[in-house]
Amino acid sequence: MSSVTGEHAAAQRPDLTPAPNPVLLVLIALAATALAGLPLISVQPNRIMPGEGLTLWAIGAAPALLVAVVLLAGLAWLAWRPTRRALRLALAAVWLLLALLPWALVALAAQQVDPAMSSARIGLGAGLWGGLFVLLLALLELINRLVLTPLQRWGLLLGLGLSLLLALTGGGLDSLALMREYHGRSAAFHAALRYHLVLVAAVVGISLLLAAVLALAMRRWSRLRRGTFSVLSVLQTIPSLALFGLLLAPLAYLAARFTWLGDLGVRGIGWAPALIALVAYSLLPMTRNAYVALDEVAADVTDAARGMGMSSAQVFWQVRLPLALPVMLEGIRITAVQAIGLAAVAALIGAGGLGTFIFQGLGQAAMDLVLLGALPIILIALLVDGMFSALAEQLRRIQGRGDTAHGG
Amino acid sequence: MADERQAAPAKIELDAVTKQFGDATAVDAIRLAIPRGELCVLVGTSGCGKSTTLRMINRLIEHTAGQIRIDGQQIRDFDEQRLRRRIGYAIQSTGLFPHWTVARNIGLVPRLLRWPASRIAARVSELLALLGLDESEFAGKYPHQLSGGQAQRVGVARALAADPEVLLMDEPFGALDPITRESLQDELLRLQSRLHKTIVFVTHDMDEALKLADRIVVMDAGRIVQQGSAEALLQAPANAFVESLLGGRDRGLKHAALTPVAERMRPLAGGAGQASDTLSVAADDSLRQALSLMLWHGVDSLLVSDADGQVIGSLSLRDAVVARGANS
Ligand SMILES: Nc1ncnc2c1ncn2[C@@H]1O[C@H](COP(=O)(O)OP(=O)(O)OP(=O)(O)O)[C@@H](O)[C@H]1O
Ligand SMILES: [Mg+2]
Repeated sequence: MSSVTGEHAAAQRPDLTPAPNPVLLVLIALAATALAGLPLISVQPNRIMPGEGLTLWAIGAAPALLVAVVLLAGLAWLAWRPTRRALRLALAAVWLLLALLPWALVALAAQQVDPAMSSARIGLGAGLWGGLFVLLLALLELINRLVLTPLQRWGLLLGLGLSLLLALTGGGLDSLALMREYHGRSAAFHAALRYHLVLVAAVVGISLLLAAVLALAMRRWSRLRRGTFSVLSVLQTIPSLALFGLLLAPLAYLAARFTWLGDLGVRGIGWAPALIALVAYSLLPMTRNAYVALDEVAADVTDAARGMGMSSAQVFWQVRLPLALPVMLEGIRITAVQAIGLAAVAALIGAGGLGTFIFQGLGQAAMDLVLLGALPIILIALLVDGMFSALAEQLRRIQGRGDTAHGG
Repeated sequence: MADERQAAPAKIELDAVTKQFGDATAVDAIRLAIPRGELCVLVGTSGCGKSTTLRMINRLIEHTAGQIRIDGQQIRDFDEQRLRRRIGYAIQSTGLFPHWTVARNIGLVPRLLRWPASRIAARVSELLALLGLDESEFAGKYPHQLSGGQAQRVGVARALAADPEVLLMDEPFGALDPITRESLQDELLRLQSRLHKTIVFVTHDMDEALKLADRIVVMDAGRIVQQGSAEALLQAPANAFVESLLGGRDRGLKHAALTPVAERMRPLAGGAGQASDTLSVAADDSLRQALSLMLWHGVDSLLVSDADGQVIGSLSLRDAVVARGANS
């Protein structure tokens, strides 16, 4: 029963100075290499002309360089002797580096782009992306080492998001190629964002409803189980484009046959096939989790509940469902993250959403337009993922079944 | 008084009750009458139908044939949820709801019965006190924060919450270490001497049965092999199976464990005296403990003292081994 995961490896070592943390050291070395060796940004005179990559040395911003070097060196020193206190300091340093990154970019933009040249733009280089990626990994490593509560984790991420948002809305980053693309089509962007979110919400809502019905039916009639799961698994293996193709003819036929369907906007392409296909993909993870969650609630608990004189409805709503919730949330999380990504592909069949920019950008070989579609998708997916994980963990904590129930 | 008790209908009656799971007969036409206020223990080896019998009484399992009556009325005539709310139920794994606090768990049945909140709160405090759990410390805890013994106490408190007349307990102390188990057994006896519930208690531990039971019901393969008081079973086991359950050649010691020293000691002729450094046992210790002391110290007699440490008698090996009157 008792959980051992909360106890750390350090507890088993008799000496008090912990061994160097190799993961962190490697990440710091990588971050330093990426930031110092690879081009950080590229400056393009306009959208068509290829840009010229600039490394940190070429830019030669001495104060920024100094800050980064000091922070990274400090980090390496902390990672060498990772006591809990050192790890906390390291966390603060990594967080600071990440929070300062947008502002460093603001300074760079001001230095490199003449405000008079309204079409000049700054592209983000491999060094910046690499550094960002590695620093995020380091942040994750530290969060895991320190066993932070969901609330603390959210606080850290919110701070980073806020810093980025402030830098973006302040105007200092308007010369970023990404922002130039955004300003060129901000109305379309907001519409696509809204559309994407509505589509995903509809998919999650509908598949949750269907999954609940299926899971309850399977619990009632156990013979349904095999068949249902095989059908859902098969659905899952059909490639998304093929599924869209398969839906095209029947939907077009239905829309032509029943005019009210056509009036609703149902066509062979557009939102209807996208919604159906995304729901079809979502059903397996959603149903499986709902079923397993409801089924694995400890029999002795429901037995006691019935034995105390609870009605079946009371047992379900007050005992089975609340105890199943963490695992069901897991299903919702998987489904939502999957739908957020797949909805991008749905843009191919005219379903709209953020995927539109990705495919437009690919068509025009405009990488920054691709990013305008892809970055929000990644951010939303991460956000949704983190939110549901935190929620499920919080529930588990209360129920005493979480990995970290005894830690922290 | 005795006549009155005879005349009152038994609290729980099982009349030729049978349970079949498909073709298998789990309980086979058993007859059992449990008077009000009796602690009746069902014992037997694993799979003999103890839990099935117990769970038929609160209709978690519907019996296939025969009649089960509570207060003379067939349980099939009751609404099953209302029946269960009148019967306390405690099980080995406690079945506490992991997402509810201790207080909320205990208040479950009163809440189902729609007691006002203030009355539920008062009842929860009362039960926590009754079971020796400090309210300020335990009321807000979740089940996973409790030790096995504490969780079991909460389970018993939950079963007692709506003050049911009947209590069904399925190996409630089965998963506990011997010392905790023993202290919870003592606690149950203490509670029972105050509350006088009609209790059906399932165990496969004969020592537990001998210690707790007013009546022991020995089951084997779905049938009742023998029923009676601990004393009666020890004196005359019905067959080899009951005898082996009673520990075979350890039977003498099991019997000694049930007999208080006071029953066999010789009272001191010249009134109470001060305990000397000679070995002594307490009058309410068991004969088994006295024999163990003699064995360990290699002596053949002990002084017997009362609760205050006053010597009130003596016990020789012969006194311990041969009941007075048996040799005359
Ligand atoms: N729901 C059920 N379906 C089919 N058979 C069952 C069911 N419940 C119990 N049985 C069978 O009935 C018999 C009696 O089971 P029961 O649980 O009453 O035994 P028990 O005396 O309580 O044993 P234990 O000491 O192991 O708890 C067993 O053979 C068991 O396999
Ligand atoms: Mg049993």
